[in-house]
Amino acid sequence: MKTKNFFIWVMMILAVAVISCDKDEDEESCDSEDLAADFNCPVDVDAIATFCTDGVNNSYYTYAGTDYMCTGVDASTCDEALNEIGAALLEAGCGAKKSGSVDAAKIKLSTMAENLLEEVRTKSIYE
Amino acid sequence: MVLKIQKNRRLWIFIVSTIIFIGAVVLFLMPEESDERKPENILFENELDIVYGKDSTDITVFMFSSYNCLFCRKFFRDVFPDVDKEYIQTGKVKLVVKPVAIEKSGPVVNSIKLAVCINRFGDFTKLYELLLTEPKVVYTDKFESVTNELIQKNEFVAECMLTDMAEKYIMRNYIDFNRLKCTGTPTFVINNKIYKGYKTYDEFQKIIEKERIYALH
Repeated sequence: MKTKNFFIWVMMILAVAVISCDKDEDEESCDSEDLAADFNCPVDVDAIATFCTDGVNNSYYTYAGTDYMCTGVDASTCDEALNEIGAALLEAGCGAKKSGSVDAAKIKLSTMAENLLEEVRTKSIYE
Repeated sequence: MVLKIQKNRRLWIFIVSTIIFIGAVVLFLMPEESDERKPENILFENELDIVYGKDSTDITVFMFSSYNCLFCRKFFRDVFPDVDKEYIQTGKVKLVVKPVAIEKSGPVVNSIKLAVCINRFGDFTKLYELLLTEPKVVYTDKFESVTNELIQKNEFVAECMLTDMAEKYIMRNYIDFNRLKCTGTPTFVINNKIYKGYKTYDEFQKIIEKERIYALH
């Protein structure tokens, strides 16, 4: 009887183990982004956020130990998360809110981007 | 009597746990849906696709991508140069990029339209570089003004941008993206098999080698 009981418990534990191992969590890729320039942060403010995605279901930003969830998988679905990080950065002493996708006038392009845009204008069409 | 009930209970526990165990093993051994190679996952090239490589290659890698997606840019920045050198330039692989946009209109869609039209009728090099370096440029007035200038400069670009040619193409990509039940970018489709998410060069290399063997046999 003891052996039978033992066997039942082993089967149940194995079943639970197999079920829990069935679906591996999707592998996550992460990349760090320095938001200092976007938020006009002073040099002593750490404005590095980490963007992570499993490429399938979830994406999120992590800043100062807090996770800010995106609504989808693409980075483009993270506006709300970035706004929340923006608020945290403003509290930390950064100067301006991130140049959003809505207000074109507020977007500050790097010199490199400005130069590239000029090259796009002059070099994209064959004469 | 009590002993009999207890015996029956144990027997039931034994049967149920055995069924759960067998079920779990079967479930574990079954391939995941995304691992399957399905004929309905087929994709076709379009004249507006952004293509790297020749037709006479072992395999064609389709890639759903967006310049607004961080990991697509990371792929193009960190992985693509090695893939290009090892597989595309050597004629082993052709990469067909199909840009997708979730929005139906707006700056992102316009930038994709410009990208595919310039790629088809002009020189995409600088625009590609710009979109990888500074994707938020598409929201600026300057980008809009450059777009308008390019439209005025070339009648083919104008036709591509101003008729529904590019718009229909982007819409078709989005339909394909949904048909294949893709949930995010980048997503790769090789030999009717879907690979979701960003891949490092090593991961991508393994996939390519496996798919080349599949294609050659």
